[in-house]
Amino acid sequence: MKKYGKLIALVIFTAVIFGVFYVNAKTLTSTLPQFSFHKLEGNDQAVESLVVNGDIFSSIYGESFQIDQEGTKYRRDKSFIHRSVGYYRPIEIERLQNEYRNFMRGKEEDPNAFFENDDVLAYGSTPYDFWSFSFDNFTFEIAVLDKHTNKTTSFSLPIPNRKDFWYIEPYGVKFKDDTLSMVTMNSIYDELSEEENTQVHIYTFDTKKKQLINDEVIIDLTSRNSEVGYSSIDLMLNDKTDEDQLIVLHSFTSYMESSGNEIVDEYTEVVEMKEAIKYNFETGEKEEIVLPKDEDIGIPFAFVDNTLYFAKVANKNLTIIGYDSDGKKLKNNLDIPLINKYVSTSDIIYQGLVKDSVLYFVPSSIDYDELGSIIVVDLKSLTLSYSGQIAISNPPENGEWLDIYFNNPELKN
Amino acid sequence: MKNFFKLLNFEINRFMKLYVVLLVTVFVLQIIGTIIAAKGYMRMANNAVLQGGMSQLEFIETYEKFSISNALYSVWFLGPIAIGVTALLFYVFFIWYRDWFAKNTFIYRLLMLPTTRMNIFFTKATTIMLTVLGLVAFQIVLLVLHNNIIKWIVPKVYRIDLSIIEIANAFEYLSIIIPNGFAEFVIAYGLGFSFVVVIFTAILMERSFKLKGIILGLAYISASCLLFLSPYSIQYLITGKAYLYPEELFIVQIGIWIISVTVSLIVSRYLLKNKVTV
Repeated sequence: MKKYGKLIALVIFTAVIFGVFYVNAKTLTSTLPQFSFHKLEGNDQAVESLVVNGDIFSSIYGESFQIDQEGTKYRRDKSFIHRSVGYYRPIEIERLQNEYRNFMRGKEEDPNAFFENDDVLAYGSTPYDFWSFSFDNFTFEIAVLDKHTNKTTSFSLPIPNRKDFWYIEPYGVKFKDDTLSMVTMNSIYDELSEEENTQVHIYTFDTKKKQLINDEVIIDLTSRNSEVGYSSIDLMLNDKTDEDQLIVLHSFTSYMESSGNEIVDEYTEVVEMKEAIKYNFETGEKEEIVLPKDEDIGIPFAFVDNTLYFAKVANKNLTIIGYDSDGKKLKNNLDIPLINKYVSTSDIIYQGLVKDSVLYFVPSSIDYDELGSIIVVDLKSLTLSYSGQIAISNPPENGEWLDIYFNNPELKN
Repeated sequence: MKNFFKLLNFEINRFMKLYVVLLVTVFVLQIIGTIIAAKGYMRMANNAVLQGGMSQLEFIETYEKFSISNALYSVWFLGPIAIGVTALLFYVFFIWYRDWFAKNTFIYRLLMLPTTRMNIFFTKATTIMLTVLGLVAFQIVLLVLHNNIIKWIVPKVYRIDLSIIEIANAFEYLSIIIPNGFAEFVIAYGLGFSFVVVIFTAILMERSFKLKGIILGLAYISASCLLFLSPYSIQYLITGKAYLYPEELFIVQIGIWIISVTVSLIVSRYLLKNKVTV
């Protein structure tokens, strides 16, 4: 035994050190900050399905996490397979991959590329081709799964005039009666004139004949960014209604110096709506939405049952205003006090989720001294369902800085 | 089995002197580095606060608190790790070639032992893996020592304390040798084992066929690497689409690992039994 001493010592030393290390490694996330939903008013049921994605950075580490009503789960605590992906996949994509495993193979992980109802799951995208050195090789990828027969129809088609565009981004898919419509925003940038031309296209496909049958341009805007501000086009697919509609919004955002209000940054952005167009997928009709003039009602963020909802942030309040696009009149409005000082009006677009006529808004924060608001609004009745805060426990003891960002909110299935 | 442990013990004992020198070198250089970093910081703090008139808070806001990262990113820390890696990488080859080219052609005696020749292969591979893991375990122990040295030299007001787990996770190069989770550890060192086995096979090819063997060995290493990288390359670089889900890709990768190691062992067994010349 003595002559095996060195070997035994080496084996035991190694096994013990690694054993202790990896047993303790499991406890790492208990030392990290823990977040939870803290209700200020409203109904807990309103946030039952809410999941807030976030990232936390300190001088030492960077971690991703998800918060729901049960608390915080860090990505490092997930299984090895989950961690190997490197990021949180959208919950909707995970559901589709679980339920339609074969259909979802090779598909882009973008919920906007899918349309689902009781009969079909449809997919439309313009995936990036790593090996393509010419725009001619970019294609539409279309696939439709019939849920009743379990048959899949899929095909690729070249994108017409692809080389004319610098960039084509899909924004949504609709499907009805073997016809798939894909909404895209196509951009051309002229380096000489520094002008950008943006077009919103509706590409319509006959999935039975596997053909592109129509390419319609809804809006064509040429703009140039300046010191004064910038133009932008935003798209909104209506949330659950009998008719499938697309809203195209053209706005101009101006930079304005702060009015001295301590809450906002040195420059604020003022958004002016230039035009809004409603497009009906079924009839192909375009209709201009007459917007209220000379009223600062903010920026539109949702379209539900012919009502366009606007949001603006001012004086630490979030105001939501409903505008009847048919009757061309403002409906009701709702004022909600905000906890965050750094919220800007455009946060509602990037940090808000509208699902089944309910707005879920979780603005991102700057540091742990001020954490996020959680706001849930029933848009149809324009009532506040839930107002709360993301509370933190277990902040770092040594007073070092933390940057916390709340990303897009999602809903559990 | 008894012969395996006898041979393994023999290989470990042969390497032990050099191994201890390596560990002591890593120890001394890293500790010196930590002491230099900590004392340097305190000298700067004392100059600024006691003589320069700065308050402690002002100093911390300007220069940030001291943490083990101040030591970990210095050449005193990274250098010994590089020395350790290089030494063990060198030993992957030396463990075989020493038996042919040292004073006595020891390989003759090894090959004549009344035991299966693959035991020679396995004991050498196990020696490499044990010494690598031992060095990494030693590094983990050293991290504890670094932490304590910093606590002795730098007062709490000036320092950020990190646990060993936090240190291992926060620094990229440390997280390569000390992976985040146990699953990652098994995968990383499983990969390391397959690397050792493939290199050993290439060495045996060279010992069997001399110059032709070098070319054969290099080709074998290249083919093994290509085979191993193929699932990810095909999925992400060639098709650009994720046709396999992560768990499926993982299973394919495990399968390829098993194939790679098995083929290497079969080829090595054949070479040791029939082709290796003294």
